[in-house]
Amino acid sequence: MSCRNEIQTFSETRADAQAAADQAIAEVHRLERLWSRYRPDSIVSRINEAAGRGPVVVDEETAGLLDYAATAWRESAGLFDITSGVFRRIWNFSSGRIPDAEVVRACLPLVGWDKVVWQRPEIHLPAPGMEIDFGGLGKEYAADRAAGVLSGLGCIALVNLGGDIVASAPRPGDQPWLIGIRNPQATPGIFGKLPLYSGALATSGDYERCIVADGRRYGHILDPHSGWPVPGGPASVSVLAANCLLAGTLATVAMLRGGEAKNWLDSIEAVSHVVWT
Amino acid sequence: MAAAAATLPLTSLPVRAGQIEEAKAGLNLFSYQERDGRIGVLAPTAWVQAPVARDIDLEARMTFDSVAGASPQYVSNEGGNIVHTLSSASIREWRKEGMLKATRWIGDDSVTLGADVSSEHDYLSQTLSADAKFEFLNKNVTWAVGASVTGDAIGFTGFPAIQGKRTTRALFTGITQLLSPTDILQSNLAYSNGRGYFNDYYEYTVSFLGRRAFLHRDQRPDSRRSVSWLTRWKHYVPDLAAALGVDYRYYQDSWGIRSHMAEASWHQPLSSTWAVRPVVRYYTQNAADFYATTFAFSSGVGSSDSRLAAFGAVTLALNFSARLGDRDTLEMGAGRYVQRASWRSGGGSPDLPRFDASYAMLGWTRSF
Amino acid sequence: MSRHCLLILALLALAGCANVEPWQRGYLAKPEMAFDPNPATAVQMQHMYASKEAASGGYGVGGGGCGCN
Repeated sequence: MSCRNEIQTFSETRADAQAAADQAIAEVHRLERLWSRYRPDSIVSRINEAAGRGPVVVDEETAGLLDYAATAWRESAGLFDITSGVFRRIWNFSSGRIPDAEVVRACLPLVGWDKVVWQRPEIHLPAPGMEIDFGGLGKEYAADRAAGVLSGLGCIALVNLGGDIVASAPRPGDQPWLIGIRNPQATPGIFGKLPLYSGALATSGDYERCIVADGRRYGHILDPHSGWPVPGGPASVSVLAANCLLAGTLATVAMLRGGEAKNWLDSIEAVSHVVWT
Repeated sequence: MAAAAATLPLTSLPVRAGQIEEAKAGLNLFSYQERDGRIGVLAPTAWVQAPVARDIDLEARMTFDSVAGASPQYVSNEGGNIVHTLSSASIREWRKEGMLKATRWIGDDSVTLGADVSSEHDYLSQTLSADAKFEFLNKNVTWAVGASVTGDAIGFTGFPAIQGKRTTRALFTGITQLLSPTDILQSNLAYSNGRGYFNDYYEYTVSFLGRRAFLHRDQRPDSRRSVSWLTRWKHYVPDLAAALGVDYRYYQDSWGIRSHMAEASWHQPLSSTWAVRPVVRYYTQNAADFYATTFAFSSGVGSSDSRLAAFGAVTLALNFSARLGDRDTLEMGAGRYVQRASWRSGGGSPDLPRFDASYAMLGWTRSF
Repeated sequence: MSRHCLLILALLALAGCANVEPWQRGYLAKPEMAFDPNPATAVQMQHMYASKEAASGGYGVGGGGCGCN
């Protein structure tokens, strides 16, 4: 996790707050060790290593997340797909060049949750070169878990893992946490402050990593069906929900729905959202 | 999906959030009344601050003052005592003011251009200003620098009719620094250079000296240069959830005036809705070089305007604010302002009448 | 005047001696910690004092004038 993370917590004494924060941080690190694709010993790396060879047995926690990923894939008509990380190999956002259409087409057989054999507790990626990653899930899940650790210890907490935010309760005196939400079109300077009392906030945005070629903007959120970014979408979407995992999934799917993002989010009850175009 | 998330070992929190605050607007009513039948002012104001385009914020304000009552007209030493006399006619005046500022953000820094126009029936003031703010050390330190030019046109249709003009150029610089999680300090230096018509057309002094009498019309130098140094400190007291504010300003100008101002306020929340803020201010100035209450000549520089005399002044005020819902704040306050020559340490101008005024303010602010 | 210059220099020297991290700025961001939470009120008060006292200014640049000398 290379982005800035912070935990703010209130407790009876400073020592209690520090101890609680340490436990929450330990939980986040535990999940990072478990699911990071950059660590060769993580379960995700082992699953990807076994692609084209055989099934891998996963633990209960990972199984639960895979079940959730499967549901998200179904309910988003395939837009939320944890196998789409393959496109990372061909889209190099720091080079500023868009890949050739044939190269993108060649990747398509390796992408698609429908190709994955998932029978709890075994997961099998049938073709070599396929991979899964918990990019849109792991950080959000970790934020929720960290907040759970803190409130379990009796602390009021705000967890912020690189923009995935969970507020377990308002600040003392029923004061809200003020979350700065960036207007993606502006360089930092203009942003609104969202007063958050409790709940989770996740943001999916296209503005930070993108390629501009021939006057068109190619965002880094790619449609798993085509391998190309979705045209006409908002610059960023922030979603408020009961937990960060759900908020993050909805934000990502909303971005992938392009011009329909706002309408789609409007149709989902029990969440509120901000869409920046 | 929500159902699937619910099966995981994650807490499900109630979602409760307010509105994103990006813009603010407000209405204010200011009322001011001097004692003894003197000036009364009622001034409604409307203002708005909002982002209008990528990287651009706008601020606009309009005020309409209506002024009524008698104002000082002449000073005389008839009968051996210095007497300040008010104008016999009760004036009715209005003043309109409009201000517009546009700020362009460049990263964390900003540049602001502003224009201000204030007009009364015999007076027009126009100001153009530009300032820039730069952030340093992860926004711990802000350096502000600015300049402005003001053109005033004064036209009196009485007898003798006068057309006066005045141009004032000003420079400004200041530093704001976060000293600690509970302290913020700001210190500003302002320099002003004005040239042109400074007289108060309506005032004059009648002096009976021996068997001669002199009528001296208020006349001031045709230039005024000044320096103001203002330092402001805000300190948060977490145990009381209160904020202390202390301001100090030193002022000096080429008319020989030196002044000190110290103001302290204590912002104390009383509940999640109400807060109270008492304010006390002490001001002192010495007299201008050309201030006097008798003049043994009819023309030449000299003024008996009590604003240029030596005195001390105290303000005591109490303000209340109430948060109504997520977006609205109501503020109300009242204060008393008293000037007395004897309140200046080292003494004030002799025979300066005591000045007494009160003011009240009502304000509504809404966030969008 | 030289005494005042010393104070100015001391203030400038303060710059950089404390570093408040963004997550420590919760108190500083509270509205009661703003110097002038209501822009209209601050301007009215300065206008009132400027019409009754010789001194003015120091708060910022660009304020309007009036016929109160």
